[in-house]
Amino acid sequence: MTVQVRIQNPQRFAAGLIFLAIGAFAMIYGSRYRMGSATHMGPGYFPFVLSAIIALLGLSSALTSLAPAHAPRPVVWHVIPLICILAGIVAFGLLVEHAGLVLAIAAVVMLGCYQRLLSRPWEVLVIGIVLIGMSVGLFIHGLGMPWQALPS
Amino acid sequence: MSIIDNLAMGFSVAVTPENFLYCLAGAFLGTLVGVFPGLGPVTTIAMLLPFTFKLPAVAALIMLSGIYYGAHHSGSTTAVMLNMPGEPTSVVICIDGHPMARQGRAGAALSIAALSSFFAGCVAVVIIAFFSPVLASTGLLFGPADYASLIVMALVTASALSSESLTTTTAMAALGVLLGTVGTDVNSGTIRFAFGQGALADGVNFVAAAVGLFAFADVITHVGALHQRVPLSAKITGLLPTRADLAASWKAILRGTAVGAGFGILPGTGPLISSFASYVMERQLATDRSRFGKGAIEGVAGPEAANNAAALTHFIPMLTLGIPAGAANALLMGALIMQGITPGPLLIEQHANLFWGVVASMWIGNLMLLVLNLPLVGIWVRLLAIPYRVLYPAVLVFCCIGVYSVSNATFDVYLAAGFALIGFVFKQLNCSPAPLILGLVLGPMLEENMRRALLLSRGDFSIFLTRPISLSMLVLAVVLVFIFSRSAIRDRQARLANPE
Repeated sequence: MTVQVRIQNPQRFAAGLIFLAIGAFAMIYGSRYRMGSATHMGPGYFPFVLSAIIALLGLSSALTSLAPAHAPRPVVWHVIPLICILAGIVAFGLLVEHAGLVLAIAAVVMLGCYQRLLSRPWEVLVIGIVLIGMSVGLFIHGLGMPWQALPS
Repeated sequence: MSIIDNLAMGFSVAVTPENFLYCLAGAFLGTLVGVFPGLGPVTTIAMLLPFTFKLPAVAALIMLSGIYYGAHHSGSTTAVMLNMPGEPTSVVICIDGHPMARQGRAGAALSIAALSSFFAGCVAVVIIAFFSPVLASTGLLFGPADYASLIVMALVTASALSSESLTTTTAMAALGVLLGTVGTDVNSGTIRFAFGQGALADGVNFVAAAVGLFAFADVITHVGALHQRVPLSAKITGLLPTRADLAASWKAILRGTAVGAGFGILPGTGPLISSFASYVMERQLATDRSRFGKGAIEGVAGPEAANNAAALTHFIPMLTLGIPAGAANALLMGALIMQGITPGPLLIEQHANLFWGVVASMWIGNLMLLVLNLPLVGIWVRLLAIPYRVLYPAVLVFCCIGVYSVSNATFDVYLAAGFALIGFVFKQLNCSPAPLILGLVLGPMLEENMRRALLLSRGDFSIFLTRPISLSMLVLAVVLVFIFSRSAIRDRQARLANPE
């Protein structure tokens, strides 16, 4: 007779696996730091114990998710907004130092509103211009932040 | 000096034209963000951080605290009018506030909410004034072992009070503590978990983490599920509560204030739990329980009072022990630290001006909130017509600028993007990021105190159980976990979080 194990709560199962992976990774990576003893803790002692706790908690939540639980909510993954918004934030970081605040903000708005850029380009344009005007006025002229507005 | 003298001194700080204006600005902005769903105090405080760098510490804290309690105050407006919490903390107000609005009693619901908030705010300010010095002098008695246990208690409580499973929330808190170990180890100088990134030698930038986990991750979730505009379902008529309304709700207001203040003083409890506790309590005490969920005014008055009392009394553990109650509270503490002021038992003595000035400004701020919320409520409601798709690009831009401005480092912006990804993924997996951020703030303190405690005890772990303060903290943690893991509050909270 075979016993069928079903994952009753896939979200908790996935979260458990993530914690297990993070804990195990930190234990292995952290083993390069000196452990020391409880009295004279080295830099590796506290993180090692902590990583072990995280790994154990992850393991236990992955295992308990196999037990019957109430039906989980179906999860929708919105991948396109995720990628666009993350790209916008990273673009801000890449641009702000050398290309200046104006281009950096333009990049955030364009990438962050990528989906609407196709359907309502004017709205996005107006939002972008207003935000650029406000930010340059407030931060560079108003607060005197040492940032450049335009590429030098 | 007596407390009266101290408060008088505080008022003299708070009513200077400059500080008064910052208080008004904070209360106003707080009300504004409180009304918008999907724009919370964490996001706003992060966006406004660059504006506070050049302010004196008192003015900065007065304004930022105004945003914090202002948002707690006005989240109920959206809950009553749209059946949608303007702030996560006002979820409870939806249950009875919105049915009241449907019965044409929106005005009564809003005015009772504002009045109970104001009452709770006044009581909370008095509690802060009397209780903080006591807690601070207790804090001076704390040894390293006691502090370590206190922090463990705060982290465990924060995890236990969340609606998700205890194992995953505890793991989130532990992950936060682990992230807190990133950077240079103070004792040995070893750089830990920096992966060759020089920028990580100083540790994980706290503002970047908070903005990524809360502001950015929230925007991603909201944009994905861009909700259609919800039509206003009720008109506001009769802004004054009737005599019958007041008679029905004054006891609930008193009880709610007590519940909120009690929870607020406990470190790590976060803002949501007290309004849930108060709601459950009102329902249990009611003679006719079937009215709840159909527009019972006690179901608005009690939780709203509890919510505001807790929001204010959270400042007690934050200012006197350095233990913030939740993410927004932690950001406030971060802002203080950036000003060069470390919250702790000595804060009241060393920065008397700051402490009493802020306490006095809280009372002034609450009075302003009453004015902002009652006669002007129509304006706030009309603002709800601004769609989210116009709002969120501004949130993105100002948060990027806010993170960058902390130390003019682009690395922090990338770090925030990374945290946004982490926050989004964990949210999808039903893991709230709040315990993580608390762990990140408290982690370095925990390690330091644990090391010192074990050094003193020569490696004997029983020191955590033999010192009375430490033992009582740990016992309290176990008791709280036990109560909340099986209480009605937890069930209700879980059901509200997953309404299906």
